[in-house]
This record gives sequence, C-alpha cells and structure tokens, in this order.
Amino acid sequence: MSADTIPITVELAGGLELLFDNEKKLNINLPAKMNDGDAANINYLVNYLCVHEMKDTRREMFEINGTVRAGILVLINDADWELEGEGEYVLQPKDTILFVSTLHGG
Amino acid sequence: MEFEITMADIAKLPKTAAQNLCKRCKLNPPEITMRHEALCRDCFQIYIRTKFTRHMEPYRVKKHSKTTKKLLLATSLGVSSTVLLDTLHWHRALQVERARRSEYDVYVVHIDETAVTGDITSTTNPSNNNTTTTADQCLEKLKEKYTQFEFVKFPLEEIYTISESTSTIEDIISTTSGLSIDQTSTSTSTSTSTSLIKLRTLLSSLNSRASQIDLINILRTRLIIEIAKQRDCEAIFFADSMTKMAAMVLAEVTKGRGHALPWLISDGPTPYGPAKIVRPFRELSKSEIISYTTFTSLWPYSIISKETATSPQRPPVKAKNQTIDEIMLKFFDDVSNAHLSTNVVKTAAKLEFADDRDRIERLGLCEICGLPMDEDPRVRKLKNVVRVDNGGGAGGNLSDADARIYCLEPPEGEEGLKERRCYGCRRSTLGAGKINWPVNNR
Amino acid sequence: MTGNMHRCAICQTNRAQVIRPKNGQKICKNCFLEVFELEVHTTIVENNIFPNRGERVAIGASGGKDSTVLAATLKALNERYDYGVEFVLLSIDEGIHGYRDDSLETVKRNAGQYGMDLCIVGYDALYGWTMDKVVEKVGRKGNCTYCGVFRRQALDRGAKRLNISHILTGHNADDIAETVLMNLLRGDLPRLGRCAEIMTASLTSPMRRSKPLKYAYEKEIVLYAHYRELDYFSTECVYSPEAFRGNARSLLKELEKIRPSSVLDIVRSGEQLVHDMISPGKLDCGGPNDQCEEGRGLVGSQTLSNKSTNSELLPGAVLEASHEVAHQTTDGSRTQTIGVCGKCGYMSSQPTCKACVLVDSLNKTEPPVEVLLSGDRDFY
Repeated sequence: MSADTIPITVELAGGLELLFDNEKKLNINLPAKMNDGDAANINYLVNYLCVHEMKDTRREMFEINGTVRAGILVLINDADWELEGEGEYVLQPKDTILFVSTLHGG
Repeated sequence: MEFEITMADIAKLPKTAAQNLCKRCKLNPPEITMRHEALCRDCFQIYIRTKFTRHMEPYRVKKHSKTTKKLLLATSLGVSSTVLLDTLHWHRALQVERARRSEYDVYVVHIDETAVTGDITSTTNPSNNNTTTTADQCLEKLKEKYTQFEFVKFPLEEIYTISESTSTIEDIISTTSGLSIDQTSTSTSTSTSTSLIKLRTLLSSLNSRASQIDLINILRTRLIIEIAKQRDCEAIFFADSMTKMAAMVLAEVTKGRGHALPWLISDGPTPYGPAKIVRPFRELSKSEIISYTTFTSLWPYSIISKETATSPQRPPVKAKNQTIDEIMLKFFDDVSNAHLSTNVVKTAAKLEFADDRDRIERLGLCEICGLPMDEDPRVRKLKNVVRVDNGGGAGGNLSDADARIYCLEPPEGEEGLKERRCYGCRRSTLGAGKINWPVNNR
Repeated sequence: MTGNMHRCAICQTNRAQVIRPKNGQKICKNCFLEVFELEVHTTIVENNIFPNRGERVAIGASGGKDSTVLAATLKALNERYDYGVEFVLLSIDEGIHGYRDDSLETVKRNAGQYGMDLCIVGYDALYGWTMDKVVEKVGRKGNCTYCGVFRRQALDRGAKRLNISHILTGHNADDIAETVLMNLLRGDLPRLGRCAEIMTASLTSPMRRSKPLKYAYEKEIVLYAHYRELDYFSTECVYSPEAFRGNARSLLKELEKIRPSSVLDIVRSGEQLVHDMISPGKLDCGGPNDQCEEGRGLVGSQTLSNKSTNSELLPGAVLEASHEVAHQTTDGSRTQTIGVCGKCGYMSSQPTCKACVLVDSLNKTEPPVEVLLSGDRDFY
C-alpha cells in the first residue's frame, strides 16, 4: 500500500499552527496521486491539509484560489518554494514542507 | 402598529412625491443618483458639461484673438475618450453658434498599438473578436459624426521616425496608415516595418509584461507630445477620469516614480515641450462617464462595448502576467468607493517639490520617460543642510546607495545609467541591456 | 532530489535556498543571512542612526518577528562593527489576556538570549485601563484607536523612565510601503510626507524614533528568523487589526507577486515625497481639527528643536524642521508652540493630550470621543 501514499512532514509556524490545533509538526501519508491521476503537488497538499488536518473553520486563512494565500511563505526542504516551481512542485517521499505566515503582528 | 398612519406620515406624503423628481430641475424623474443627489439625465448632462467647461477657460472666444488655437485630443477610442470628443464637439459648436467662430480647432489622434500589444495585451477577450468594433471602424464612425474635427491614426512605432525626421507633418502622415490619406498606400511599408522591428526588439528585451506595458505607456505619451510639437498644438487633451488618474498615481508610486508625481498628474506645462496637458475629466469618476455614455447613446462610438465597460470583472489575466497599472485599475473598480480615488488624486495634486526647477537644471530629464531625474533621498537631504560632518565621508558612501540598499545595480559597463535614467525607468528596463530608445529630450 | 538545483549567485558553491525579492537573486542560506545583516548595517551607517557612542538605545520589543529580528540583528552588528551603543528592550503590556501576556514571556526569554535589559510598561499603571477593560467598555470597534494612542505615549514614557531618548522600532519595508499607499488612499498629505522617513521626531514626542529594518522585506525577516531559529511569538491580536489596512496589505501582496521589487519601489517613492514636498501655502490646513495635527506637528517640531537643548540629538528631525522653517516664514499664517498636557504634564500640542482625552472619556459614562489615530501603526 505504501506506493499509494508518500510520507511527508508538514511544519506550521508564524501563527498558522493555531489553525491546526496548535500542532507545529504533522507527519502525514499523502495520497501519491491527485484526483486526475497526476502526482501529488503542493497545491494538492494545501487542499488535503484543509480537508483532513485543519481544525479551524477559517479555511481562507490558509488557502485562497487553490493555493496558499498570499503572505504565507512556503519552504520545501528549507528552500523557498519559488525555486522549486511553487504550487506545481511534485512532492517526494520524506519531503519537509514548512508553511510560515508573515502576516501576524510584529 | 406598523400599519397605523401617523400625522408624521401624512406630513411626509407630498415631500415623498417631490423626492421622485430631479433634485435640480424638479421637473423630470431622476435617473441617476450622483453624490447623494437624484438627477434627471438633462441635469446630469449639465453637471458633466459644467465640470468640463471649467477647464476650458483659456479657450473661450476672445474678441481680439487673431489665430485659431490648435488642440490635440488623444483618443484611445475608449469610453472616456469618446465622451471627451462629444463634449468638446458640443463646446465648439456652441462657440460657433454664439460667436460665429470658434477659438480652437481639434486634431484627434489615435495611437495604434495593436502591432505590439496584440500578443501581450490580454485585457481584451479574443473570443468575441467578431463582435467588437475595430479601431478603424470606430474611427470611421467618429469621423462621420464629428465632421468638424480632423482624425489621424499613428502606429506606435512611428516614434522611431517622427522625432529624428525633419520632415513636415504631411510627410509623416503619408508614412502612416492614417485615415486622412489613401489607406491602400503601401509605398512606405518598408520604413514602417523597420521601425516595428526596432520597437519589438526593445519590448522583447524587457523582463515582464508589467515593464512592457509601462514603456508602451511612456512611448505613447511621448509620441503624442512629438505630434503636438510638429503640429503646433498648444494643448493636449487627455480623457483620464478621476478613477483612472487615481490608479495612475498608485501605479507610478509602485513603479518608484514618486519623485515625478506632480509632473505625471498635473495639468499645465510639461518638461518636454511647449504644449500644455489638459485633463478636463479629472473630477469625474469612471461610473459617471459610463452613465453619460448611456444617456447620450454614445456606446456605438467607443471601441469598448457596454458589457465590457460595466462588467465588474475583466477577463482573467494569468495572475503573474498582470501589470501594475491593471492591478491598480482593478483595485479602484473593486473598492467602488469614490472617496478613495478623490483622496488619491487630490493628495497627489497637492504635492509640490520646492527644488524641482533646480533639480531639472542640475540633473536633467530621464532619457526614457522624459520627466525630471530623481536623486537618492539621502543625497538630496544632505545638500539642503549645513552639516557638521566630522569627516565621516558620508557623501562618498552615499553615491551607490541605489545599488546597496535598493539592489538596483547598474548593468555591466553602464555605470553612468544612473545619471540618465530615473529609478522607475531603471526598474522597468532592468536586465534589458543596451536599448535602442527612439526619443530624446532635445 | 530536485532536478533543477540552483547554485548560490554569491558564493557559487552552495545550493540556493532563497530568492531575494529585491533583485531576484538566488542565494544560499549563509549568504542570505550575511547579506541581510550587511544591509541593515548599511542602513544604519548611511543614515547615521547611532551618532553617539556610549548612548543607551531602546528597542521596542513585542516578542513578534520584526522586533525579535531587530534585536538579534542589532546585537550581532553591534558586536561586529562596534557601534558602541547599549540596547535595552522596551515592552508595552497593553493588558490583553491570551495575547500580550504570552508574548511578554517571549520578550523575557529574548532579554536573556541577547543579554539586554528589559523594561515593561503597562497601560494599567500608566492609564488605569487595560485593553481588556477598554474593550469591555467601548466594544471592539475603534478600540485600536485607544491602543495606538496609548502605545505611542507608553513607549515614550517607558524610554523616559530609562533616561533614553532614542527608540528603535521593527517597521519593515512592507509596513512602510503599505503606509505610503494608505496615506494616499486616505488623502493624508502631512503623514504621507513623513511615513517613509527612517528617523522621526514629532511635536508630541521628545523621542527620536528610527526604523533600521525599513528596507527589509517582511518575507526576508521571516526567513531570517527561521534560519537563525529565533524565538518569536506570533498570534493575531485578539481584537483584530484595522480593516482598511488589510486592504492595502492585500494590494501590496498582489503587487509583490508580479514585480517583487514593488515593495521597495514604493518605499523609494515615499522617500521622494518626504523631503520638502509640502509647501504650506498649498496645505488645506489651518482649521483646528485633529486631522491637521501632524501638519502642525512639523512646524511644532521646529519650535521644539530650536529651543530644545538636545537638538543635536535629533539630526533627522532638525533637517526636516529646517525646511519647514523656510516654508513657515513665507507662509507665516500658522504658528503653534509646544505645550504640556494640563492633566498629565506630558508634551502635547493641545491643552489636553490625546491619551488623557481618551482616558477621560473612558472614565466618564459618556460615549467615547472620536480621536484620529496618530502616526503609523506602532506595533513596533
């Protein structure tokens, strides 16, 4: 069954953890393929997190228009997701994805 | 209880009836609520024309004036442009009717950018191409309706030939596909295409659509100014509404041209030449202009359909390909709060740089946009202060703050660029290498 | 794992992990940290932020990302470049349960981590009101006004208590850019002319305030905090931020997406509007309403600096003022001298300072008065 899911680590910071019941780190087994059969990417993960992991009802604090809302920084294995293709980045087993909000007070 | 008629209700009755009439003439039923006032279409038209006429003071019929002034009206063939055309036409006709002559002639200029924006403009929806009016069709209609005015179309690439040419305006028109000459003429197609290649090369060297549209806007303005110069026009009329101008202010601030704000939005003289800029619609909102278009049945004379103009959402441009100008226009569409655009335009209009004249003399004009050059704010500040400096040598350090703080390093081999190109234009041409810029500041 | 690995544009060795929004440069973590600190240092040096060795300077510390990064960077730079100044963390306790009490714990840890003294000033002690009690009284609408007015004075008073005349705040480039846009949208000309200043002093404050992170992107601040594993606190204030600001903020984020340099470009534009743009003859100022307070403030700060004995401590403000003097003499119609608040004795352009007006209205049973929030968002 392991071929059907990929193990990844999701980290939440900058206040986003509050949307996930104060969990700063989630180890999840993400379905390897999206509904259309393509390999799972970041945008898919974002939706997956909203459906399966988020404990808060304010989905729009995290996701807008199928991707993370502007103002949330995404690091893929500690590198800016802009270097990796942003939402289109195809997740690999054991990836660590960090979502960190820049929007909360200074 | 609710259904009981009280004395107060009765007292209100005749008043309520009166409220169903136009607030100004109290004769006709109101058709538009404008700044909390319900007006009929006639009074609304008067309101629009009054706002316009305030800007026409210099062009009133004067007893002893010998010459007829030449005014250039720049038209995008959009809604505001057509309303301005219509209003100017009305104004001029009134002069002829009352004084048997007019103080001015109007020369209508449309800049055709389709050769370069066809592939990069995504604001027009290609799917209803068959239903949209083309620029030429629109110009033909306008020509038929406003017979007193002269209409000319210039392709944007003309900027490569107009400024260097010493030829007369007739020669220039003959090299364009202008309406005033035989449209089938192809004798000059080679020179046009060389210019077009130059223009396309320039635009393709820029790193984003935002930068391309920015430079196209600049080129359009500069071409219009060149045409006005050659045609001895004493003023250039732009149809920009308050809404459009507010978007322009925020867009230029966002592009780093805060230093040129007064020049960008003020009416009056420009640094480039004798012609004055007039924006007679600067106090009118976009929605007021749209209502006027409807009341005066002007929609067929605009290249924009009523549906496109009034639909809240433009066809989606791929988010990353939007331009700064588009985002700002959309912002003011979305907020639909007239106060905000009023605030922006009025505030920007109050800006005044005490050292502006001095700055032009010292630093000259930007080779791209033609507006006064900017200066690193710290340098400006130091110049104006008797500074007790204990040999810190701050001046020396300050010189390349643009590179060190704004990360706007001059390109390899072009270290002098900073002295010739303003901050905003350096941003828009970042990474473009050496460019072939068509106009100079004389 | 990733096929298209980028190399760092600076060291040419390590894997690039960051794209710099200022110029699109792809750089590695170490070079990023270095370049970030170097830019803050450049900002400090070029703006002469620390003119006097031996001075004690307060850092407005909230425990949030900006002020934590500010404290961490300044500690490192002070050691590396020997500014010769001593930093003190200054925190405000607004009295917001579940928000400030938690973040103050972070500040206390920061004080230990950076070896800086910490001073906490409470609204409770200063005004007799905590924000929790204010909200209980006035409701959630408009409570940010109270908080803003109270905080501005609270920082000043805290600093005064420490015998300090210079406060550093954590405003970043995004904050400044947003404020420039907001002041245009609000039509606030006087504030537009000052909001991009790196150093300010105003009529109602004897303090110099500086923003050493003014050219640092919010994104880079968060990255810096992340890579340096800084201990910061992040929760939205429970009494929610101003709606209008959110608007300008989302506009800014949209602009940043299509041209990342936009944030900095707006700051640059703002700086061009700072200098000597306002000619009082053109200012619609003169009515006694609150809106013009900052406009008079400029004139007032000139008066202040002229008779103040510590004018040499206020280089930025004096520059600004000397220009206003010139304008003032040509205009001549408005003059305003600085006084003190009849109630609390604190500096004020009015007989009673804003904070006291607000406290009075709270102490009475009357509905709250309308007072315009002065200055930028002082979230330090």
